[in-house]
Amino acid sequence: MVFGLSKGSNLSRVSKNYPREAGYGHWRWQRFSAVITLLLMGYFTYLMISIGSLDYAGARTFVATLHQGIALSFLVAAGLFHAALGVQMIIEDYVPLASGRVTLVFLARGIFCTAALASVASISLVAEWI
Amino acid sequence: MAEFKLPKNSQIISGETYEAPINAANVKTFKVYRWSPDDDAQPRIDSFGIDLDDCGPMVLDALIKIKNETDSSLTFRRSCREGICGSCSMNIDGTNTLACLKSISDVEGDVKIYPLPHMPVVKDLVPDLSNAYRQLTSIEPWLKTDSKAPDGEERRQTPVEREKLDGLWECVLCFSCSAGCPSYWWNSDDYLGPAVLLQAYRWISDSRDEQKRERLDALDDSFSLYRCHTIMNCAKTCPKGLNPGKAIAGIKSEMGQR
Repeated sequence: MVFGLSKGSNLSRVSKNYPREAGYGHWRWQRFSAVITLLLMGYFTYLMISIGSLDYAGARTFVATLHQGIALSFLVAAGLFHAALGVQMIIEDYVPLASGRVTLVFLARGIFCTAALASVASISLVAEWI
Repeated sequence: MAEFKLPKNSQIISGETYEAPINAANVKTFKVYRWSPDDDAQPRIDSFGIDLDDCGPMVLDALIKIKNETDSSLTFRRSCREGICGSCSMNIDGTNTLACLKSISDVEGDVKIYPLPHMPVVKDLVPDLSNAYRQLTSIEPWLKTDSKAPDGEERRQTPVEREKLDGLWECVLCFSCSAGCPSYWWNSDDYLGPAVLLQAYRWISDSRDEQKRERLDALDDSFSLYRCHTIMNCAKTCPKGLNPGKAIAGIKSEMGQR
């Protein structure tokens, strides 16, 4: 006799409280974004040290180069992406479904997305791309 | 969801005190959680003085002595009294363990005994494991094959393949680990917990099982497996010295290699 294990068949009988997302993708992106953010924080430390002794105009000129702007944009995007994934994890851990878990997750994603767009726009203004 | 303020009928009060025999020289006090669904009484802590010179060395021996000689209404699960059946799991001296494997001499001061935490109590030291058993059923803990065994004989393993099951097959399903896991406390409806995931990995790791991919697919959602945050209470509390956290890491690794 051949037994089959259909995706989530019995699991869904145990638990049908939450719209199920693939867990591996979230787990993998959390770790990937953590490593990228960590590496870019090294760059950010270098940036802070470099502009520490400059006045505003000098610091702005230093940042307003293509590679600095791109690196900063990556840092902001990776950091906020990682934060969004982490906050989703916390919400899923501690907020029951009946208390608005799904709404809170989407709200957090929206906030982090807005923050990322605003940050990239600010970097673009400093770099005089727009 | 956690309730930080206990309902009035859940607040534990002091219960009866049963002194040891007057001529006892080596007395230890056992403070035991008591609650019965048969009345509206508050849960209470009863104190039993036990003469250790007239008692076996393990906590389970003391509980059996109390039940036989002092209070026959004391309720707890037990069977093999040698760490094989997993029945007598409870919280002793602040740690989930098996009463039959916990030596009385390992406990300093009074021996405080509670049922496994964060599980509904049936009576006294008996937790309701229905949810845990339902979750165990969900992972289909048996060998699943698509092909027939060669020549109608048993399916064989090499010694190396067999060794991969060490540290997994020894689990006696006492659920001490799951009851000690904060992630399981918050999400026991959705998260399978370390005991069940260790069992899942036992079958995922079995070279004879032919539905590894399906088993992994069934676990790949945001709650069943990935609520584990590597807190490692499971490994710390396991009375058999197993490491469910490592098994969960093994499942995550297998997920990545699919």
